[in-house]
Amino acid sequence: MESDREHSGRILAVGGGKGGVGKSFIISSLGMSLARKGRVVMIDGDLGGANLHNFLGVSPPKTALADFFERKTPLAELIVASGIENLGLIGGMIGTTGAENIKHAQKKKLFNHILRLEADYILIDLGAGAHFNTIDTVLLADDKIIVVTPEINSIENMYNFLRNLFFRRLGGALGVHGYRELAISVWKERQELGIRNFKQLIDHLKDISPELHRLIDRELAGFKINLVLNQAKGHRDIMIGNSVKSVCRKFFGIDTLYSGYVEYDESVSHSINRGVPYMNTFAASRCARCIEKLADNLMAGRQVRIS
Amino acid sequence: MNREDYRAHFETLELTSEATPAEINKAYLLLKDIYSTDSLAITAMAEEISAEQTADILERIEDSYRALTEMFSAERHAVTELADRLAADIDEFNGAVLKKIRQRLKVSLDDMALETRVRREHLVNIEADNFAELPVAVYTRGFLLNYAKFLSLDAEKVVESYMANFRLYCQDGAR
Repeated sequence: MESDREHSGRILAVGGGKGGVGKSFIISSLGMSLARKGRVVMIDGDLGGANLHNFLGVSPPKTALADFFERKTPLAELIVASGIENLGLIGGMIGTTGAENIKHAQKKKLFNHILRLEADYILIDLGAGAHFNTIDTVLLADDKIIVVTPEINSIENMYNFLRNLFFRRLGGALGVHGYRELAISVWKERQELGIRNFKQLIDHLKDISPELHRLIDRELAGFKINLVLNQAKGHRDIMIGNSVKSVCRKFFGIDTLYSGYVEYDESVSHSINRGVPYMNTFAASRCARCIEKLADNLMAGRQVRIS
Repeated sequence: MNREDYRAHFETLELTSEATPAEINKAYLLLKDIYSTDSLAITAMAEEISAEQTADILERIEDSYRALTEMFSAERHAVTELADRLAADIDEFNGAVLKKIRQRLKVSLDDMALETRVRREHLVNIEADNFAELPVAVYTRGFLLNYAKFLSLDAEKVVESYMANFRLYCQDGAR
């Protein structure tokens, strides 16, 4: 999806199964960091639960994505000042429409508008869960950021999100070539076929025909995700990011970069509650430095260096 | 080792083929740890991963590590042999001689700087016999030691020979 378009801005989207892992904090902080390098537009795509403005310390924007869908206001006209230089915000929709209510045509139109936004960096915050509209938005992005915390539930949800993400992409490609039904039937009969995990399913599909093999290889080759571990409380937690990365590579066969970790800091929730942007108030904190490092790593395609 | 195998081994260790032996060691220890202990990352998909699969992965990690280590030691051996031959008849290791040996061994200054952690400009000055720009003897000596070791040369011999020239320069009153 990302290869056949021409636009100047780099799109970063943050998803990941579980709520409360810090997606909005990470993306808003990244936005503040990137705003020092270029023009940033941040989109609150958490439809139904939009609150990205809290992380920037501004009141809810008067215009928002709802206007794009309901009044057909062009997306670029919905950008409001965020109080931070170089950083514009497009508000989400509070309590009105959830992601599940966006029609296909509306979504396509929204994506077209996103691709045409004039910005160096377009950052999209997404809600929890793995609804296909959320998945499609992540697939639109150049950098598909997935946030986990060092907790089993968050990691489980993340694996699930990843499965959905890749299947959606593969499904699209297989559908075009008439293999969609085949993939679904293999998945249905996975028990009989002795398929226990994603990697085995992929291997099974690959063995069916050389064409399918090439097709899947092509889809996998262009597919990369960026893993971020949030709320790390020490070395052990930081290492969990590394193991999750390894599992993603070995059991999903998905190219995964461990792009960064962010240390736990209780001032984060204080800042959000008080409506002050953390990155500006605690610019010298260890947590803020982790964000800066994460931004650098993402831009350069580098990973966490384990010492 | 053919190209496919070579790539696969690096992939098993989750490295690119530019990885250094030190990085290979580190990656090996890390992965071994992940797949031989109860890692949260694996527990989170325990239903999908059987014990045999984990064992299989551990075995592949061991195999790849062994193969790459053997390859590197063979490569190292070949380099050492060539270095020995190149240095055999040399009495004086001045900058020009060192540069020639380095080039014959196909080692770039950038790689050397990265691995030895000696700044590139110092390496350039060593090879140019640019004594005026090199730091005091104790540091220069250290740089040379790294330089010689990196090229698998007889470090003591190289340092002694080069430093003799360096001392002569210093005694001439320039320092």
